[in-house]
Amino acid sequence: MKKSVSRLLSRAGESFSEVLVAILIVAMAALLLASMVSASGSIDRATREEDEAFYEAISEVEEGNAAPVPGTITVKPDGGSAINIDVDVYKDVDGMLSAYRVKG
Amino acid sequence: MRRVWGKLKSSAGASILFAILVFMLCILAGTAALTAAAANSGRYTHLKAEQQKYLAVSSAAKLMRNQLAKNNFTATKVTTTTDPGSGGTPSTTSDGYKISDENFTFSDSWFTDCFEKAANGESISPNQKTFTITLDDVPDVTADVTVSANYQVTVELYVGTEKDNLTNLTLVPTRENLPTETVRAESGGNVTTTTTQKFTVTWQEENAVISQGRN
Repeated sequence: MKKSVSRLLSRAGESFSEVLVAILIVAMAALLLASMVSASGSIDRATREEDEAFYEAISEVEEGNAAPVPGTITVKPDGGSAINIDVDVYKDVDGMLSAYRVKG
Repeated sequence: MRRVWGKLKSSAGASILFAILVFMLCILAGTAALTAAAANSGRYTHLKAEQQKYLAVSSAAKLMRNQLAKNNFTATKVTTTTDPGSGGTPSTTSDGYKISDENFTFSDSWFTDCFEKAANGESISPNQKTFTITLDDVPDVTADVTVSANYQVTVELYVGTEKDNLTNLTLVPTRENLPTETVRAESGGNVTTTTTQKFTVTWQEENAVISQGRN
């Protein structure tokens, strides 16, 4: 009994346990860092894909590469009656952007 | 005091302190990487909205150019001079220029009124009218149309009250004076001379200029 208590009160081996805890903390930190970097990489990849899709959509719509769909524009003067004009509407595949031109 | 100094000089627990420092550095680095990635992905939504506004205004400008360039009219002024002869005083009457054979896309009497005043050298008021151009899934575009005394039509197009993507369209007119017709008639000693003056005004797409303003 006296031996166990004296072992508990002894400071021998304390540096070893410190090192073990320190290693645990550093390992957790490394794991966290790896997860965060991996997550930011995924977000970046997704953003790059969205960017590419966006610029493709601009090209389809502005240059009229998309197949046009018939639509009707309404032009309304203040205090007057509205006029409808038939147009060709250009939308990209994902429906992100729209532009139009008068038919013919 | 000695115990405190002893504690400060002691190296016990240094490895844990170092480990906690490394932990904090790793958290900082990871947070910075995540924040940068999140900030980069957020700009896409703003870009899309801005591009759609630009497309709406650009399409509306080309539509207005196409429609206004189809406009044309003829202005006619008939002046009647009656000369009673034998020392009498001739009298002249005229109603000024009247717009006829007009072809205005937006079928609005405002255009007729403006161009009639311009033809007669009167001040055009009101010389501006606002149109709203709408299409499903596209932001509404406001077009402020202004008519000048020289028949030039200027359109200011924008989205919203902040005048986003301001675009200007200018249509330069072509005026052509037609030959003056004079008819002379005599009746009961009175000589009546009727003079008809005419000119036409047209606009063409080739004479239209679209330019981006501020914003």
